[in-house]
Amino acid sequence: MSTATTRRRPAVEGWFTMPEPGTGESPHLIGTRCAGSGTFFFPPERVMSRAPGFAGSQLEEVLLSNRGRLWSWTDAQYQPPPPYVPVSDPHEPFCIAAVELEAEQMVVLGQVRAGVSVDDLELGMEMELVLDPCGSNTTTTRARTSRWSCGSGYRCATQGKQATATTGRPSDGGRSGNRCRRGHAPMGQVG
Amino acid sequence: MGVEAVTVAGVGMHPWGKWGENFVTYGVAAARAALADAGIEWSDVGFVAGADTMRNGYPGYVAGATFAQALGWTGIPVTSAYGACASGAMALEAARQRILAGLCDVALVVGADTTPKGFLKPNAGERTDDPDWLRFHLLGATNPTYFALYARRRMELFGATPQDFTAVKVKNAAHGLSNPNARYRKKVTAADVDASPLVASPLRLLDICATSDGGAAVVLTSTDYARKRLADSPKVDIAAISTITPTFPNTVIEMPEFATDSAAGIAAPQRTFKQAIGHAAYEQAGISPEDVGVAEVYDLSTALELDWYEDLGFCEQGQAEQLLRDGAPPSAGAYP
Repeated sequence: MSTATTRRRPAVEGWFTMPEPGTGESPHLIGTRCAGSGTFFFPPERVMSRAPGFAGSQLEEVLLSNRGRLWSWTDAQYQPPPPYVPVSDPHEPFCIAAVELEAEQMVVLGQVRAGVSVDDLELGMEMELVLDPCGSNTTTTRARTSRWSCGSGYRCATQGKQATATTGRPSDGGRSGNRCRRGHAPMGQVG
Repeated sequence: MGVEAVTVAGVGMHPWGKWGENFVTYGVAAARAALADAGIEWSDVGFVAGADTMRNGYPGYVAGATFAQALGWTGIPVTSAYGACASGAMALEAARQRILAGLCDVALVVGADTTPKGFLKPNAGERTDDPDWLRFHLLGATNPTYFALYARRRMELFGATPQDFTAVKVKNAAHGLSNPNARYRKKVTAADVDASPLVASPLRLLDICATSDGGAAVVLTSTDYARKRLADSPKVDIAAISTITPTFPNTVIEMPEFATDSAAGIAAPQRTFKQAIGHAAYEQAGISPEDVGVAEVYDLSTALELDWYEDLGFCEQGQAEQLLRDGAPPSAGAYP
């Protein structure tokens, strides 16, 4: 397929931004914020705030942090049943990350880009939001979905695959390396 | 005089396995066994609470009516409960409340289900506003995905090992050996668990609950009725049923959600949702975890059972592996 005929459309409307390639802009998840309580919602609540006592409060659309720290992770060794759309035949295991956003104080799930295995991931490591095709890309209409990529510049992230797997900037440098050793408690509480 | 409490007068079960029958078959078998166990006639039942999941279509949605019809309409009121894995507890609570309110003396609670082979999956159709559909479509997140996220978290925070998870399976399989209703009645070794395929790292096939067909039923009566009419049979009173929901913000990721609530505006509650479930039951019963002699703990995954030891107050957070290694749960320890 020629890329010229490829249209990008979101796999779900209103959940994330889709900057044009080449603009240098990073994608963000779209959330809403309860003006009264200051709490955030993702997926974005559009009708009313779910914060108790703030039902009448205004909901403001906000872009959520597109970097966060790994809260936990796993993988899908078997192909999930529909409506999962296979991306390869046979199935290639992929990772799923739970990422903690510091400012929003919430944990968001996302697939991790292909080529990353569970052994590449460590508690507390920085993750960055990226966009990838959702399901088979053999048609001209390529639905895109948001995924979490290991933050670039992170030493143990993906060992070489990293360079091609993410468009992120190495803003965090080596700092994250030291505070993301296995076994360190991350931010926040666990239930 | 009002109703003091509610008594379990009889219990019944259809064995769990892959039988290929309609769920009503399992429910009716369990109901008849429970009635026989209680020594109560179907015609004496004043209320039916049915529990079922979304997998059995319309008769499942109206499970209370379905079971009452199958047992023979007697004109009594019914209710139907669907709360995923908590459906049974919800149905029990509905029946208990009915008796406590003095609206009937005898209630029958029936739960039955069928499951597909392999992963549980959402209902058919393109339902782009259904989080259960979206998590499969966008994330490829199956149920074990969520169990595995909790399991990995335990390993990272508390030093749990796959061997700890394996020990839970070996213990629970040993319990199943002597239970004629158990899905598997065979000994499972650590080697069996280790040899089972990885499903969602770090969880292997034998770390994850099997999907099974079967049914269970309970006959509840007022304690007064049990005292007067069922003098000779063994009975158990229900001290508490906890059917609470989370308090905002729920800061632990829950199936089928994409994200937790945010704690940025409103501080997280003192107890997590799961801690609050146990606390509510203890408070209702007027006891504390130290008073518990026997605990049957939810083992949707092996690692999740360890989470529950802590959330139910049997040990401090991060100590479940030690409790298990000390042999408390499988042997004659504090929580056999």
